[in-house]
Amino acid sequence: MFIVLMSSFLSQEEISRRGTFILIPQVFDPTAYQMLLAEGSSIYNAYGVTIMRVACGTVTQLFFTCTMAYALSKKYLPGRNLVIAMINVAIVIPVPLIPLFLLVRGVGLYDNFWSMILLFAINSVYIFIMKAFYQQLPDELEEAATIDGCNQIQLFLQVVLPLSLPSIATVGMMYAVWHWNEWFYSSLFIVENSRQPLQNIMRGIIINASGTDLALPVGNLPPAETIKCAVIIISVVPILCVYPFVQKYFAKGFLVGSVKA
Amino acid sequence: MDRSTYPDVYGTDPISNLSGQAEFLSAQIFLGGARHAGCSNFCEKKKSFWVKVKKYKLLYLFLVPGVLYFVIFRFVPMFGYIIAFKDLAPFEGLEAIFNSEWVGLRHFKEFMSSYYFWKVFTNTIILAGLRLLVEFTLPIILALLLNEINSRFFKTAVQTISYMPYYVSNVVLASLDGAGKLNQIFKITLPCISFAIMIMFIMRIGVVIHEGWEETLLLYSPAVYKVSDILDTYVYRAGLDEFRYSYATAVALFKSVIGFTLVLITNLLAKRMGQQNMYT
Repeated sequence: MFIVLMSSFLSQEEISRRGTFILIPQVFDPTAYQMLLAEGSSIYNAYGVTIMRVACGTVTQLFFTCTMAYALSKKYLPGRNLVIAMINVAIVIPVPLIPLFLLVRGVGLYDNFWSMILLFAINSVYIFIMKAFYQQLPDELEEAATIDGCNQIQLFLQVVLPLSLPSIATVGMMYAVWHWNEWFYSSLFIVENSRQPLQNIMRGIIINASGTDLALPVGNLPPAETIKCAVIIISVVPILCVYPFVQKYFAKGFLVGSVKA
Repeated sequence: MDRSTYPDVYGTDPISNLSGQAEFLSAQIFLGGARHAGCSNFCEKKKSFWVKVKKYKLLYLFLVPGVLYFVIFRFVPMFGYIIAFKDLAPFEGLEAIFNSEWVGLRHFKEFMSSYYFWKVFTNTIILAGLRLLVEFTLPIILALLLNEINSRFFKTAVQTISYMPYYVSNVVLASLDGAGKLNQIFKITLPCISFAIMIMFIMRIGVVIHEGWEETLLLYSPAVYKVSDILDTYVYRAGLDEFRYSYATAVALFKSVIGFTLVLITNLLAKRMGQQNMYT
């Protein structure tokens, strides 16, 4: 990481002067950053898309996962075993790529922001995690609440959900990190440049280091390595800054959960 | 229902409260049931099915989005495997799936006799095997190290995220015995968890061939296809870069069948070992 940070400030003339492996540049040349962070750069758009995607995607996934897991945690529900068998089959047989591609094209989600969110609304492993958590909540809790006059929806929203916050936080964090890192399916299904998430733009820049999707000054181009390193720094530093604050919130959640358990 | 109207239902303590209410309610149900006594058996079953659905209507409502997702985005693509037995032209839309001609096992024969087959297949197996090995040594070491940490907060935090430390329970016996730390780890902790490790290893075998292709896709290049091309990356190249949809789906089906068979075998094996372990 340190080397990447230092390399992002190298200029072409320094590389030709000192050779390719340079630990600390003598002259800190911010041209790569100026280029990448310029007015019409696609990185701002990509950041927006990725943040939207993480927010919408995590919320959608948590909604789908928690509701289904809660319903499946009730042993007395008729048809529950059938649904669990269905999920097990879906785990064992992975989704084939080409039919998925044809389906997305046929349904009209091709080149659509929602394809990134709806295609992966549920990860089966997390359903089982949440289901196990709900099963471990004592039955007396729900009986007491029902006797006190809760109807079913109040029971879920006001009794079960607040208790399951640590679990939701864990699963939500794993979903969010997955959304942040996911690039393959968005590279398949999203074509328009302005809708691409950050990882794809980054990959595009790194593969095609002449950076044809950026507004570049023709002369004075920094070397390819420098551009690559600058892209890496730009996409990693914000998340590094945000993570400690998020970590504190989750730590509190874990403590609360452990005390209750 | 309150105390003034039904004084003999409301006792003074919560338990008799509950039983009193239960008696009252069961009387109501009995009376209500008597009204339906004229129905035949079938009529009662049908009524009780919908009564159940109404009773649990929130739970069924909760199931609907999840089941819809699974049906549309997991099971419908599974039916798409039939294009492996057809000759699908690339640019024709969804109806072409039903209208193309059947070619039987042609794509499978083509794959097995192709230049790529052995290399791709063996690379998949080798990479999966290496991944299994690394996945099972490093987490054990990490779990054992974490077990030595005395901070409860950290342990709880990690426990909710990863599964391995769950099996590493606190070993009080060794400290009573006075054994040194390293001895503790090797002689007591490891044997305790070795059975769990073995079961988990066996069950991973079937699943691991489906993983790891994203990293491979990112890092490989034509120069290293000989050692890094695996079944999944080959499917991606043949299917989406070369537009050979049916052929690529046949390769994907080939991999799925292998994976499915491995999962069946390893699950049976794990179950058998688990049963044996219960009786020892």
